[in-house]
Amino acid sequence: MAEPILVVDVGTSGTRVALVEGDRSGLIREPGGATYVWPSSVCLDDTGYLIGTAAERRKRAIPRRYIDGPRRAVDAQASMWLENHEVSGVEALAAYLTAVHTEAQQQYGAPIHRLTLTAPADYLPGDPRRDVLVAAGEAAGFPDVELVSDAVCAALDPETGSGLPPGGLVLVCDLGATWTTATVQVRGNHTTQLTHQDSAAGHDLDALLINDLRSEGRAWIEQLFTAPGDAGLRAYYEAIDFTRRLKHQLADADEVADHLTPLTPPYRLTREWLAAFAEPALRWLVSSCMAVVQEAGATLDDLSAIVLAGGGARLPMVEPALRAGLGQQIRTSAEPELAVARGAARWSVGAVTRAVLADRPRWRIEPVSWEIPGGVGQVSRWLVAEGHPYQAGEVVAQVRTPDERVFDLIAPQAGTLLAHRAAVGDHVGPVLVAAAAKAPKALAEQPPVQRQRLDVVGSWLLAPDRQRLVECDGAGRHVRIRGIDDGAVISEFTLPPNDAVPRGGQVYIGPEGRLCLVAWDADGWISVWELDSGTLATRFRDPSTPDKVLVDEAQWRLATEAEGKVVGRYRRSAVTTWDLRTGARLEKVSDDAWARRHPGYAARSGSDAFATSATCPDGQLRATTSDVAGGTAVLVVHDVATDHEVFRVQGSPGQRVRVGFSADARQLLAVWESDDRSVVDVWDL
Amino acid sequence: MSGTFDGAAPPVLVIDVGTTSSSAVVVAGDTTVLVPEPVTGAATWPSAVFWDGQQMLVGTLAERRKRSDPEAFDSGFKRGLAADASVLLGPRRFRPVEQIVAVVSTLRAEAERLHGAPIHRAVLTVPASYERLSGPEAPVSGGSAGQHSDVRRTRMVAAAEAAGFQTVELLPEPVAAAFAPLAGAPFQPGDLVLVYDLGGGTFDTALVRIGERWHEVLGHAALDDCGGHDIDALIAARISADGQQWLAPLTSAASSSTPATLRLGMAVTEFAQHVKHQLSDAAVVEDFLMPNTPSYRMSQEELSTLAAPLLGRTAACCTELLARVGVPVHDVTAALVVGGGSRMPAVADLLQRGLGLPLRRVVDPELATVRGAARWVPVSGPRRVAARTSPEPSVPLSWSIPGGGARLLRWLVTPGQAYMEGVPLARVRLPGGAVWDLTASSPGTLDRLLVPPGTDVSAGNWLALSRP
Repeated sequence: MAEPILVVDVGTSGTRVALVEGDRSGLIREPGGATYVWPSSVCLDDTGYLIGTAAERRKRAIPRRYIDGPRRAVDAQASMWLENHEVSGVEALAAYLTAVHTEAQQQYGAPIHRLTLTAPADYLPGDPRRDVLVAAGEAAGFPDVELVSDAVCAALDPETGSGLPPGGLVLVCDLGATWTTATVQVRGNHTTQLTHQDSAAGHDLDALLINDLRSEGRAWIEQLFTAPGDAGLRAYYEAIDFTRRLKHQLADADEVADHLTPLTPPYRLTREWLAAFAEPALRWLVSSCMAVVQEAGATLDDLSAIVLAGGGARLPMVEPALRAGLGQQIRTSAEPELAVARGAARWSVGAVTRAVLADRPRWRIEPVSWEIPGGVGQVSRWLVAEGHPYQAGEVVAQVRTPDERVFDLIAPQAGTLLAHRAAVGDHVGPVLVAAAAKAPKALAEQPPVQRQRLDVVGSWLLAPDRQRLVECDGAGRHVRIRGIDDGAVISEFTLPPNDAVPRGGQVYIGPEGRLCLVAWDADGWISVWELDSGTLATRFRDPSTPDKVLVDEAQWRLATEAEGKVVGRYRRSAVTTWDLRTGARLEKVSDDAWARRHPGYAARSGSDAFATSATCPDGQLRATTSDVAGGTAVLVVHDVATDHEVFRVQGSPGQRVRVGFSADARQLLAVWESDDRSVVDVWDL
Repeated sequence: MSGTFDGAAPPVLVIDVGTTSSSAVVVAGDTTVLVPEPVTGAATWPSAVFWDGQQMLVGTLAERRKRSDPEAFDSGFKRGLAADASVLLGPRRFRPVEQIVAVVSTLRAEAERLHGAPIHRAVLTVPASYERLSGPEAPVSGGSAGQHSDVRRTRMVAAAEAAGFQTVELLPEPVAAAFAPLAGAPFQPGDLVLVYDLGGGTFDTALVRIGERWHEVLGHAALDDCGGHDIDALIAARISADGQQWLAPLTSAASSSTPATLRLGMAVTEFAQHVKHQLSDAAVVEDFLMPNTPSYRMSQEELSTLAAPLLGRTAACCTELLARVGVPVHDVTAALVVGGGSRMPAVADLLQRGLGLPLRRVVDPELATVRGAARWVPVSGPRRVAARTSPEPSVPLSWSIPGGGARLLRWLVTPGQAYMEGVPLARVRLPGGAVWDLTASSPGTLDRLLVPPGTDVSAGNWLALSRP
């Protein structure tokens, strides 16, 4: 069962919470609350912290112990005062997250240990505020805290982020209390935020509205605000909520009017007024979009999507202004304030895929390890340099323990030190490890791990760069180029469909080392395809429909052999040679001994790096092939320095074997060939 | 170093570089040999240097030349080790660490001459105030060498390495002193011992808990201006005051040349030391500064009265230390009295009356530190660590972490636990905040963890060992 992950997007005024388990995710409503938006409020009552709606309810009674937006203290890297209590950002946020955690576990019915927390786009890697977010998550009881940028989440919102090409560039406008623009490159688990800008525009708009309320209602509002005791502060909080409410109502009405209290005169706000108030913020938004796209080295045409998210996206004038300013379609969802949380949930659904497989252990390297007395120490000296041999009992390194004793680390047996893996002055412990070369005896006892076996009907070629394997089916219709280390297909080539029946084909190394497929068909057409580009280099026809095709790679010529005229009792074969660069016919001869006299012409590539023997590029191993009694092919690997046999593989009867090493000396390859099949084995060295 | 694997312990030179005097002992196997000052044959060497324009003279040779050219002479330079500001010796400037190199080199040369073979390993005793920032139990921190410890520890190691030692260990002086051979029954593990070290230049005290191989320093305190030499100065001042009528003509006669006045001052100080040493075992001393001056008399009582304010400060220092570490006096097993200054009978009286502690003494109090360190060398255990060998081969685990680096959050398996292919073994957080799992590429059993949680790790680092 997949581990549950709690997703929390703590905004300045609203927080969104989701729970992810495996590939399922869902937003969580606040208990008692009607919406998915939990108020980002904290209230310190005599019994402890209250959050969300509970805090909102208490704020009238104890307004001096109430704050909205615990994350603001983190943003500002400052403390807040709850009456006489100084509360740090990490403490307030931890209190908030603890309450969310408790509620989520209650709803889920089981412990939740993992948290995904969204981080504002301007908390770049290395920002100490990221550590505060992590610390708050840990303090709230989550051992594993993951941070993901708000902008990345908004770009990943499944409601607006569908159909994006891999690597697609998304422009995000996230309009909360802070308005953020950012460019995000969407690439699955490697999705990254490239550039960003932010402004306090959302906050400023609210301030403009409050000011308007104050000037419109100056006859009655100031006496409310200046009332003695908590009453004034209470009235101020009410006014903030009041203007926000009116602003939201303007999303679907041209004009709204309401009373701050039942006894005060009505206050009117029109969409027109709101548009006028929002005008400077919108101008900033459009120019900031242009700027972040330009800073990312892109143009508006390079964008795969423009996503509008955050509660501010509900302002009716935003989307038209953005569309007009950027000249592009804008993607926005029905509930833009949930976009970041939905994107964070999608990111968290992918948690299981954020895994890296361990590197394959190297066959010829083994760890030598020493327990540091007392558990910790500092490397004071290496007495054996990297790449140097040592004797049994020799002092390899010295470690100084905190009590200033200096210990000699002794070699267990003779060997060669390959890498120190800890520098002088490094703190080490409880174990110090160095990399040593495995002795030939140990190599023979522990054979290398076979990484893969690739089996085809056709043939294999190891490219002369010894980095690529080329697979070719018998008819020359299909070629695949694979990487050696993982066998993954790097590129693929299929002969375009043709009326003629393919007769054969073979991969050769053409001029400048290019991989070329030489294919011929039943009509006598011979085509040369450059595999890296997939282009046809030449095409020509031998009307005699040859039954044998040979290529001289050095001269880049081709010879066709066809049944010639009957002379007496013999049928003499005719050989025609062609220039593969131009497709021009060079000469035609009837000579039974032609092939013997032209050994450069061969039915398969002579540049194939598979051979009957090979030496590893690091010079330490030599692989040879031979036949044992009964005609079975054998591959034997020797340690060059000691001439010890370290590895041996025997094939099946009827197989021939050729070997090769990868250019980086990390893999041994063998190709076992029988009449129509060939199998490549790859071992890690 | 490749010649040491026959099992015999290589020779170690134990060195106590004091503010005013130094000493050294060669430890080879079971034998310990003191390295005497070659000029005087004394057990301790003056911590003094003299630059003769060509080479640095050390010890008595330096002392002897100081009269001829006081400006090329220096002692007490150990006090300047923290700042390490250079001083002028005649025409050349030397840093304190260079002066210590000269002392250690001279001791090493003499020790190798005595031992008849090169000595590559040294143990230097250092004051308890040269603190380690991280204790033996402290976790591995970050991996940077910067926060190692007090710069004076690093400089002492560097000085000994510059003097030609390949391997240098440090031992706190009170820990060493508590290992010194005692007159009477040895301390028992668990005993709390107050080390009272009145040296030539400084007073140091420390409360140590006795252990088998190591004594734990529970707390320490020091007075930098409260040593035997300060008592000498008090006596010298007293002599100058008492002998006003016969010293005055000498001073005026000498005033024509400043070196002569300096020399007369030195002579009075040496005379004061001489008087003090004689008072260690004589009730009254009567002696002459110069053949032509009247006799000078001083009794043990007079010395006690003279030294009382200074000794009172040492007692207060001890009391404050005990109060600071929260150990009542009656929990302290004994006071161990060491250092050359502690030979004065007044010290014993003070400790017994003032602190109410039983006293333990060593035969040569000025050699307690170096002798104790020499005894610590064999009891502190072997310094050879054999590599771990196991019948089953182990393979290192490393990962190609996206982006190249991450912080290890925690291990998801414990050593000894078997795991299947594809199982997450550890969890890391990338610099961007994303949490990734490091998974197994083949089944195995976790053998050892090489990196604790919280460490920043890089792609390709070996993070653990496992058995396939």
